Amino acid sequence: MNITTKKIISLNAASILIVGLFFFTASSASMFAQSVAVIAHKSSSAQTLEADKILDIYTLNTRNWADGSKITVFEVKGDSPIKSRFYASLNTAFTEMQKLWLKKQFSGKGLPPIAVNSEQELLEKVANTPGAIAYVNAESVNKNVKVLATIK
Amino acid sequence: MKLFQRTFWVLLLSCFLVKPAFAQLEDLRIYGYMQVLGYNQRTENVITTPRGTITNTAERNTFSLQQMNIFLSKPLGDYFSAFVNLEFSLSYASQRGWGSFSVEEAWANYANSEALNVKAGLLLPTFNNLNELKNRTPLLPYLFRPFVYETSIASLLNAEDFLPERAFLQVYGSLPIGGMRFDYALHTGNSETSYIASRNTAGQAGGGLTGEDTSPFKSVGGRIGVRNAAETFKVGVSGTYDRDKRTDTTFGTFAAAGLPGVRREFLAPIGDVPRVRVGADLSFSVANFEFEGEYIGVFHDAKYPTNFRGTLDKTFYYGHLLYNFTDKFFAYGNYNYLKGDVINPDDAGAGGLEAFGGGAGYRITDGLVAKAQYQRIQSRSTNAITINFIYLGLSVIF
Repeated sequence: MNITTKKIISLNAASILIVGLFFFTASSASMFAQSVAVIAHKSSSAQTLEADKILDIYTLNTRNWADGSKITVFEVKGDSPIKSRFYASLNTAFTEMQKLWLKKQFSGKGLPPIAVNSEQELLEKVANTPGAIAYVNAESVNKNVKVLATIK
Repeated sequence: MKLFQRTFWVLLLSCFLVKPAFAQLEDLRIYGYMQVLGYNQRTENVITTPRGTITNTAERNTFSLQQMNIFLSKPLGDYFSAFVNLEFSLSYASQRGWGSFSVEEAWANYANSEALNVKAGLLLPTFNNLNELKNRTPLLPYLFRPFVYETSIASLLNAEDFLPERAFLQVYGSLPIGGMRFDYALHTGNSETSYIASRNTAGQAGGGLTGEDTSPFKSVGGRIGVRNAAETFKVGVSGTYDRDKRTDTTFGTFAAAGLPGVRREFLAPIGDVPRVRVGADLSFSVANFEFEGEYIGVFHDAKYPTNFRGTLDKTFYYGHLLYNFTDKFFAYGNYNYLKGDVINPDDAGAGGLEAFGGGAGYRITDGLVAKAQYQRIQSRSTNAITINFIYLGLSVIF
């Protein structure tokens, strides 16, 4: 009886481990499969953007493009794997950025990104707003926006 | 018919007139925050006399709207912006039965580049880390701020003895150096507000017209520092040079307030005293820990009366260590020390005041933080005063 119970327990443990490993691998694979594209309005004077420049824009240290025009940042509301991946690539986290944005907003040193409801709305905003920048799932990029960087 | 025509033309005209007004309002952003709290205060004042020790105790409980700020922010083209910060503090406090309203900031900013910004108007000057953020209560984990930054004790502590509270012009910027950024800020404004009064420096009343600035001395100061882009590491030094008005003796300091025999009135007027404030600040985040600390030293070039044994020099410092258990829940401990004017080294309060305690907070949503804090304030002297505070509060961003 004891042996049987032990076997069942060990079998169950093994099953849980295998199933857990499967889901972990599957979720990791899906997360890493999603490349992130940093996009801008087609008229943007920038052709590419390095990670440190992107960080400067999202931390509101840089608020104007090289040609002097104002940068407008858009972002989709809520949490998503794309959002986590984007901020992780900048060696920070979304919660950290929220704190920093509040600090800058309350000091009059900048305003946080304009939040939109969906990726589709984000693409439309970037396409129609000169000086706009945002990040999206690379697979969603269309011809109406310019890609400045891709995070793989 | 005439009435109809008139109405039509008035409506048509108003469409043209009103449209630009709406267009101007499109970019105007209005936002703010408030912090409400309830607290219990137990005060114990131990007075040692030749005949023995007398202990006075008092307790009070109260609710108050500690502070509410409303901001108006508007971009004015690619390079300019305007910012107004309206502050209501201690409003509807059941204990004090009064509140105050002030225009904390009203300025226009010109951003030529990251390296060169110019801010003109009424502004909070950059000095150490907390001076610009002291009133941003939702950003602060604590409810009772370090002594010199706590607005609710403004009637007891003359904060501008330690800090430049107002400036009217600031040039500032940030330069990338490797992976870090070098920050600088230079500002100027009036010396302390006691100069801006109808009484002039010669002690003559009614010397100025209403609205006229009779301040004869200006304050200059600034800060230089280094930080990373995400501001998880920040270090800097600050300084100001101005005059401390000692032709008027009506101001008290926190170390002296409420304690017998140490009020500033007992010091004979010694004129306009050149004053230097020096500051240093350090803040950083490592793993889930956050640390911030500051030092402020205030030094006077005063010609004291020959029998005077005290000093106008002052010291303040604080340290604060916070741990984030999750994205929403945090806890912290802190210590701060303040030494104000010392008129007589033997007096109560001459050793300064210290405060220590801790607290915790929970972010209910992005715009709502519940906070709790215990703070013990005590004097370092023979005539000891001890105050225990328990605070419960709520920060709301709107």
